[in-house]
Amino acid sequence: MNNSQRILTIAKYEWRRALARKKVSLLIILTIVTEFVPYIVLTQLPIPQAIQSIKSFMWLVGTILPYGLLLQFVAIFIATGSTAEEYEQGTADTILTKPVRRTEYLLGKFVGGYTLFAFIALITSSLAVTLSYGVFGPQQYAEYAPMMYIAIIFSTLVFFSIGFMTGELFRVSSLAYLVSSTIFIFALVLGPFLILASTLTGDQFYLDIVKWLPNWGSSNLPMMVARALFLQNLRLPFGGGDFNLTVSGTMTEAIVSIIIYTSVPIAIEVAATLSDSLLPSITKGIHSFS
Amino acid sequence: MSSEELAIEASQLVKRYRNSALIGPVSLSVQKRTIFGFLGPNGAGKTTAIRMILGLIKPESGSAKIFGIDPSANPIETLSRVGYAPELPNFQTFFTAEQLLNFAAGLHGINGETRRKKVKDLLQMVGIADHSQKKIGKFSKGMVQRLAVAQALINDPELVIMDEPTIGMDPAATIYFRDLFKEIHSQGKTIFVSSHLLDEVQRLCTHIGMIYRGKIVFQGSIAEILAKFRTNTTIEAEVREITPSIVDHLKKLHYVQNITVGTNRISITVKNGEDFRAELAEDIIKAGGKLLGLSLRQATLEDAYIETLKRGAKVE
Repeated sequence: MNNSQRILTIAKYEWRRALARKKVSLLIILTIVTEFVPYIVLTQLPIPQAIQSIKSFMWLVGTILPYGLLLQFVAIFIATGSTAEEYEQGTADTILTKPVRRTEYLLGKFVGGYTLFAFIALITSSLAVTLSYGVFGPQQYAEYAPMMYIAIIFSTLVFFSIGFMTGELFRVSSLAYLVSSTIFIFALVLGPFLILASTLTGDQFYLDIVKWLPNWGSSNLPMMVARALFLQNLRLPFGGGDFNLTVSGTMTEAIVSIIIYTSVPIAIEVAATLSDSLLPSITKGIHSFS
Repeated sequence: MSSEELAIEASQLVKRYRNSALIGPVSLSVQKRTIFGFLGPNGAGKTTAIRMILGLIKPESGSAKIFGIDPSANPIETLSRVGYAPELPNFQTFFTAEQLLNFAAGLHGINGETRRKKVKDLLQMVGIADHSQKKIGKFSKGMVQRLAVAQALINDPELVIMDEPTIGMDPAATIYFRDLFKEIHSQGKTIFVSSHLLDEVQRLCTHIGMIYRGKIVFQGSIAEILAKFRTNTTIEAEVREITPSIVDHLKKLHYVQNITVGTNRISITVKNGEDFRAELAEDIIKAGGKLLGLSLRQATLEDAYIETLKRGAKVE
């Protein structure tokens, strides 16, 4: 049996394990239900004329809206539980006492969890396109939906990796989720504050910091891709043109930011697993002693 | 003993926990083709020692080798030859028994018809074939333990490590599994069993290691440890009307070490742990006693275990 077969076996197992968790299933259902909300609002409530113009771009709204918050939390939730729950429940031994390298175990879990997330994102993106056509008729530039989907799942790598790392480091899923979510929300809130500080003081330094936040590339890449592909000349209510709550940058900078904030947590996690020395002793004590 | 003859070689393994509990230094040598019983009271560190040996926990110091190879450095080569059944394991409850065995077989690279046959045979062997499609979450403790043994045997391992394998099982199942382990051993396999069921260990094992408060206090064959405690051999004599003259006579005998007198019973601790029942019967009659019965009580593993733990030090 070669490495890829073992990784694939663990990845398939991770799908089953994650889907067997009631909380994950509920979160997925919530994400899908939420996908319907903008369509219900736009069809049932009186909509201002200014927003009427987005009807032909509803596929984009439906794709981007859940990504901004809900899908990120789904990714964090799947990632933090991936290894931490196995240690908490003592189920990791079933795999780790078989001829499997630790790195294969982690990679299999990562691939399994991430592809599951990608599948959930595929459902929401597909729903967005289908509902938009069904409810609002022909959509503009919908042929770019696959590109938007790729941009979204690539961007989510950052907080998926952070969640995965904290799960392996703390080995307590609730703590890992709390830490990862805090990092995400903190970065999300801090950005606009720094922009405001820059506006008030005129100091560019604050804007430079924003670009170094872990969510900058992750949050901005999908809209950057949309702008580059088809939104260059449009100004939409949800930020197709100037998006003044964030700092502008190039797509390359966003991709680099995503790669850095994805690879650093993965590197820390692999190092921690292999050395077993970076693990906080408090959690080592909880799950190792018997 | 050369390293090539060893299935497990643990050297000075030490693990300290945040709560200051210290396991080790643990040094163990388990010969190939033996049935090794790992004994110790609850919390002595048996499971931790096993987990260090398997590479599941990294020790602070020391090393562990399985078939001469460090399992944490090379899990593919070592763990493909090992089967491990943890104590009351936490398997994923969404699996059915059959799915779990298929998953375990998959990780060993066992596929196709070989896998199907192996899974079917093992479910039959551990007596849960009728529950193969039942979710593990609905299994009793005994059934989970049976499943743990089955998944440990999925790769036809050369070394089977089992942590309290018969815990939660009824007496009939315990006897069945004891015979099963003997059968596996007879195929040239090495079996390492952690247990606190002394009677079971004495019936099953050829060698034992005792751990107490994180330290190994004895390691050797069952015969060796029993020999160390042969001085505890006693003969119980049931005698009608025990008189002082009978007791005085017995006290003078060369093989008698100590005498305890009851209402119509005399308990005689004999020297060198030998069986002096024939001589004692003659001597009681010679002293004018009416002998009703004799029984020999030699040191059991339980006696040796209790005594070793009391001493709390190596008796090797």
